[in-house]
Amino acid sequence: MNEGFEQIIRQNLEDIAREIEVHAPERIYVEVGPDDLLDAAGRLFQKLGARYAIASGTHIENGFEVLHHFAFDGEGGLVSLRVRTEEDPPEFDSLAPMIKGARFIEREIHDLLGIRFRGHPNLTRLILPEDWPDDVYPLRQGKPWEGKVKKQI
Amino acid sequence: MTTSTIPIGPFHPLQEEPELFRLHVDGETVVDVDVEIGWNHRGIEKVSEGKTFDQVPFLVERICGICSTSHPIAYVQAVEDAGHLEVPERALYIRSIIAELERLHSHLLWVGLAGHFLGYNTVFMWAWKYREPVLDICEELTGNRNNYAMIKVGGVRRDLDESKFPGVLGRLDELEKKVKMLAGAVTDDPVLHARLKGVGVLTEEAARDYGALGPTVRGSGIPWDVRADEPYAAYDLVDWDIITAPSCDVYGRAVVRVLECFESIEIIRQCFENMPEGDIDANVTEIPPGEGIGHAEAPRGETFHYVRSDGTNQPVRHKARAPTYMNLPTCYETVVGESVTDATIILASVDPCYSCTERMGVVYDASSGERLLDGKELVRLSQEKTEALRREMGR
Repeated sequence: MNEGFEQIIRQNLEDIAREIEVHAPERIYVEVGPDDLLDAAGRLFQKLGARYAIASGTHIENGFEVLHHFAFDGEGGLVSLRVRTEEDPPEFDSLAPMIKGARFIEREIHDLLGIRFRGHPNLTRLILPEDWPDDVYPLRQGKPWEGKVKKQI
Repeated sequence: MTTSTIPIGPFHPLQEEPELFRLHVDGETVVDVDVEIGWNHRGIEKVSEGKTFDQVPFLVERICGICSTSHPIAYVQAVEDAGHLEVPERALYIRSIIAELERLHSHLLWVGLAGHFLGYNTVFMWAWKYREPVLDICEELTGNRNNYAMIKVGGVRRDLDESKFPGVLGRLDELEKKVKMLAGAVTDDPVLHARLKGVGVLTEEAARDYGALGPTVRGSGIPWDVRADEPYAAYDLVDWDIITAPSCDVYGRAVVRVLECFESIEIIRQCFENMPEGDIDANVTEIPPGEGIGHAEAPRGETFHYVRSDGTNQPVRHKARAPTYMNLPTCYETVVGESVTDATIILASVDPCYSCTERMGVVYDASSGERLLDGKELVRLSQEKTEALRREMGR
């Protein structure tokens, strides 16, 4: 493990990070404000040459959270950019115009959690069928489909 | 320019699993392509939230039938990362052995299928014949040809029987000779050169942009391999090389896969030799609250799992990302501009594994909340159908 990995991340993101959590030497979670997401992702992807691994959306207690995971293959570590919002419907800036690898996953998160991505070139259904009801997001906590989905076989 | 549309799928004899590709063509040339996934989404991420940490490996093993051990490895590594858990060294070696056997049979499967897609069925027959002993070895060591159920949080579920190693090594030697012959046949055959070289070009820049993985990215000359970048299991304890090919085309991806077979055999040999005695399980009893990420190099590329724990015995969020999810969209770069004939082998060159790419869908009655079809019901239906077919065929 490269000793300088944490240093590099701190130097590049410290000025916009709300919190930098070093879970393990090769696992760093950086929370940024939603307005700084594009800036932070640009620094990791374009400036430092990280690989975009995937994003994961989560329905948390008070709102929604999206983690964008960036892999540093040379250093052998992962940096996860965390953004949170309490708005409903939740909305974040889209990374897809900058990173083509983010197109599919942002559509998937939109489908399953109802999080919108501002600026996505084609935010249409990916996983769910076309006739799926608009207000049912299966990955939200509780039973989001209750009373909304008709019996169909 | 007038274009017509050729749909491949969602259900098509060329594909083992449902997926829809729409090729927009001008004459013989593909000018645009659309991909539609979601035809076989099984909701595994949602199901996982209702399972205990120890049950999830059985579930994620079923994300993919071919790379059935890479998902459990990535998942348990995520849990081990969340809880800062140590794994006994013997268990790490066993994980590597199973993962490499899996890579061997998966790559041979692909070589066979690639031959089949090119209409070169001799390659298909050879590769699948040589793949068979690998599956036998898997059965001998783990009890099953696939879905080995070997991986658990904190170690492995069963020990390997060392008295079987000499026999296995003998068969691996045999296999190595056969794969050498196959490698020669693929790399020297002028027909294969003509069909594969310069076809489906994925430039280094595009590969980075799409976040392509595994042989797809290594065939474009980028040495990304989780086994080397962030060594897990026993990959930092044995000697092996990352295989890359600079040609950026289907040929490069094929060469990477064939050459990786030799590395896999070499890793298995060294693991057998270096494996220490000792425990195979850390007997984990508690997962603390927190989050963890695990990734592992499956035959098709990096498998990525994110797990969040709240201190109970079930994950509150589990994200699984299979390599094909990142590799499939590269078709927007590789297929456009090629001829329809080449589209099939280009689409196949990422070794797509569709069902891994998608995971969800439960059938409930909205008024009563009653579950209309559950797992047991589906198993019963499937068994009844098999019985009916047997009777029909008079067996």
